Amino acid sequence: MTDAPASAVMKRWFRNRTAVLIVLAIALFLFVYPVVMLIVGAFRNADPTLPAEWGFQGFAEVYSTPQTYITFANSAILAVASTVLGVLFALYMAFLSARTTTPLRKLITPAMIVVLALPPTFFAISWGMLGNERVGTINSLLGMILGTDVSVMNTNSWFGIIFVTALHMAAVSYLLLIGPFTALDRSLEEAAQIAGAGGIRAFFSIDLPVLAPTILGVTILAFVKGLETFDVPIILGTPAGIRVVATEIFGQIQDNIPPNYGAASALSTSLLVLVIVLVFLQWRALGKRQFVTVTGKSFRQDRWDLGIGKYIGTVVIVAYIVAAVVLPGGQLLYGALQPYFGAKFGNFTFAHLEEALTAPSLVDAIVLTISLAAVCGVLAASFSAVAGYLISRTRSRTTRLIELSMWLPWAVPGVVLSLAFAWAFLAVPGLRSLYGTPWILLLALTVSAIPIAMRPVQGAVVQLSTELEDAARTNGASRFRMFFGIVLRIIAPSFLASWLVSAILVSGNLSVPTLLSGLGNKTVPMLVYQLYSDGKVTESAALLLVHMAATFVVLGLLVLLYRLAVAALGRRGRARARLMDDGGAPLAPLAAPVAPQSHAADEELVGEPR
Amino acid sequence: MADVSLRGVKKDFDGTRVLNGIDLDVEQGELVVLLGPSGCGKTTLLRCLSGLEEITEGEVTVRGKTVDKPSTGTFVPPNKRGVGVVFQSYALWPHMTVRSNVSYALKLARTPGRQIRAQVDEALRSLNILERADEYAGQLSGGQQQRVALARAIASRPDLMLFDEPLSNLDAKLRLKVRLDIRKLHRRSGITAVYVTHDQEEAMALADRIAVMNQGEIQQLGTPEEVYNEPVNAFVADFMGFENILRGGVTRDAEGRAVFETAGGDIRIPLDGRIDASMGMIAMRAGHVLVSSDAVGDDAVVLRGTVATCTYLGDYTQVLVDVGSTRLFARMPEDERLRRGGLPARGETVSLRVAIHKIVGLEDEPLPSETDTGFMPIAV
Repeated sequence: MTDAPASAVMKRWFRNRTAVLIVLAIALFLFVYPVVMLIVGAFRNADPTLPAEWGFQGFAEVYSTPQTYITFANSAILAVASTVLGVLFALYMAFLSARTTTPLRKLITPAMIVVLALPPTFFAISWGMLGNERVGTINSLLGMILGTDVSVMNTNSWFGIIFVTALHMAAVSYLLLIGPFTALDRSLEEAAQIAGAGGIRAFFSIDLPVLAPTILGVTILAFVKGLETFDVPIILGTPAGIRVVATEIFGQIQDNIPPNYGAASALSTSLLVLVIVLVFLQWRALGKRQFVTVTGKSFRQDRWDLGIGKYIGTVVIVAYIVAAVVLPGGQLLYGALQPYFGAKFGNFTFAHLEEALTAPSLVDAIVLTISLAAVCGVLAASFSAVAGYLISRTRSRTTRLIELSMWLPWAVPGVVLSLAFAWAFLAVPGLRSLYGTPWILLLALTVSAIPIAMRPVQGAVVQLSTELEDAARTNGASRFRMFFGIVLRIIAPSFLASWLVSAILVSGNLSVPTLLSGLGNKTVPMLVYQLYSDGKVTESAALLLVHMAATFVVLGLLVLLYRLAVAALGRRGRARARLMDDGGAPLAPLAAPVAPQSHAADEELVGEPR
Repeated sequence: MADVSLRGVKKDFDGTRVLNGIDLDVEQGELVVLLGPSGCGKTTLLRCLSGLEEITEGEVTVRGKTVDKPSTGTFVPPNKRGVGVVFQSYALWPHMTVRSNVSYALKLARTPGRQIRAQVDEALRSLNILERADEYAGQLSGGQQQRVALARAIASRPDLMLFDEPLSNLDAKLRLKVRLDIRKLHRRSGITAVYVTHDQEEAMALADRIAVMNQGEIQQLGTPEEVYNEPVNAFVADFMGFENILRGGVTRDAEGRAVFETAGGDIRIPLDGRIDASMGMIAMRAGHVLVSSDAVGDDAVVLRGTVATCTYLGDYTQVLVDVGSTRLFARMPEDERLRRGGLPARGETVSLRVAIHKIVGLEDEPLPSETDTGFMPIAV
């Protein structure tokens, strides 16, 4: 080998690494570069297009204002309160669903998936209408019944923000907890019973401690989400004058002329550092997953009969579904049909719905948003598949770097990502022209979807036996052909799940487009927010309703087309079904970041000797 | 009176009968192995003994006390039965150290601290894992984990020890080692034990008595020697490794002696007095059908057939021989191979010496291999 010419050695080096290097370049550009530019921006004293001096002006300005400390405190209050409520409720629901005979328990998981698939903007707006202090539906209804004006509820308040955030948080936490809850090795509990512990005692002294790392990880994740949350506080908090960090960042740019980029960047950087520390802690907690043991032998799962407690459980389940799905859904429909918000009962109009279906600006927004959702979904799922494949098949410093950079967007709150992309594109002359176009939205939304898109696809790739690939290679397939002909085909169901989840999240994303869309290309969530905050409440309800229905129909059709295409491949479809039984896995949504594999791989799994 | 006794135990899962009338007595200090293929109900039976499952019908008594009897509504839950269970997956609690795992039951039983320490130390010492007492279960290797699981089951000195395929997750070498540990442990403690496995050799090595199970019923209960040498039916013979099971009937030869003749008439084997003339099947181990050129006495008969395949296995050579259209599993001892100067060629005619007094007579019944394709084809 030593006498091979240098050019040949180089050629060889590149041939084996081309794919990795391309993916690395994309990852660095999309995930790392914007964050770097954001941090750079925090230390400059002018907006990104202008020459500026370096300094700590942004930080000095931010940290000399008392308002900053109030917003951080507000964020902390919101995060703690919604986490405590959301996670405790999720634990209770996971327990009911996985371990008891509570009637209606089978509704819990579907309800939670629905809640997760609906955009947070929807909950905020609907509950804003339901619980408006003066003309809210709940107060009006009570007023009609009692025959006098009452105000028992006001959701434009701390109560409203925390309540609505916790509703959503409960769904996220539940879906992360239910897997480990169900998969928990029941023989651990049986062993405790044999040792003399009764059912309740076994649950508290064995099951809960065994699940503790998972619960801790989910709690930190929920806390991070609470700190980052934007949609709910901007809609419900703004009227009440409650500002959290994410809305404050937005306000620094939106409410100031000229926009205060320095202060916004300094705030963003602070939030980013805080969140990265927490995400790191969460990795540490979830990375040591050795506690969750799954064994091959599953005997009958005896469920507990909680006696009277099971009916209490049923009541709680129904109450949650009413609060999280029925009431806001009904309100959105009702609101969309009202001529103006607060109109008397019985006054209906289709004018707003008609406008949403015909007014060019609104129709354009719906088309743009759904197209973005579909395309971003494809991009996110494809990039996740390629990168996930490279990461799982070649362990090197380069692939590790790719993996870490792909998790970075997870730690970047939506508004911060928005600002980071603004910096990244405004600062470079050639890229500047993309600012305000749908293209920058496309890239930013794809990036925001990557951490979620990665979960199902990466899981599927890891499960895939390398022997299948080796067989393809020894049968004469090139690497390229092997990836597209074998790997992608086999992981197709996970790819679909990945795409669907990303598309749904993109279509409801309010925070990422906030600072990136131009005047002519606002996405639906942004328009909905603007209409709502301008007092055109019923118009916003109609637009959101039409958008959600359109998204549902279009994504549904695309899934159906995909299914048909797969079915047309006939034999291959059946063969795959036999090879991989992951039918239960799709829609394992809003996945927590699993620590990069090497963390997990170092741990020896208890009770998993195979 | 028996220490553990099952009377007419039946168990249904959602209308499917998994145990179909089990009667079994286990004597004080005895180790009974439940042996059978997967799905035969052996694990369910074990779980009924532990109280992790409730029986549907019948009665379970431990130490003279009824612990499960549906007809009177009696049911003692697992945490009140005073049994020790070693699980297939070990089921060690990962958030506890080895010591806490082993002492958990004693703590729940409110045993005084000093006594707990003594009993736990003794259990750990007897299994050579005392030095790992303060580590977490997840830090141990598979074999060590299994020994902790054994220590945990034995530390509280239960009335009854139950083993649920405890060796199936270990590699072959460790399996032998832990098997010896279990045997020693049982002999020393004298605790009555029931042990579930599908491994015939494991069952033979451990058992005082073996209960061979199939389709929710005990097919044969006996000492390892009895079960190995005198299977009572075709299922047991097949499961215990009788390679040759022949179907046919008993006729008389010219001198009036009983002769077993296969259905096609390919093979005629004279029988000794042990075998009932009404038997429709006989079973022979390959080890009792030897390729040999030796002269035979009264205790053996010679068959002639052609060699189909030879597989050299070191201690002996396995030879498949076609006698007429019937294929027999036979063995060629090493000295015979050396004497011949090599293996017989395919198609070569050889003499088989069949040991008459080792032949087992059976009632004619369908074999598992005739209904299930998962088994090696045997000559019928």
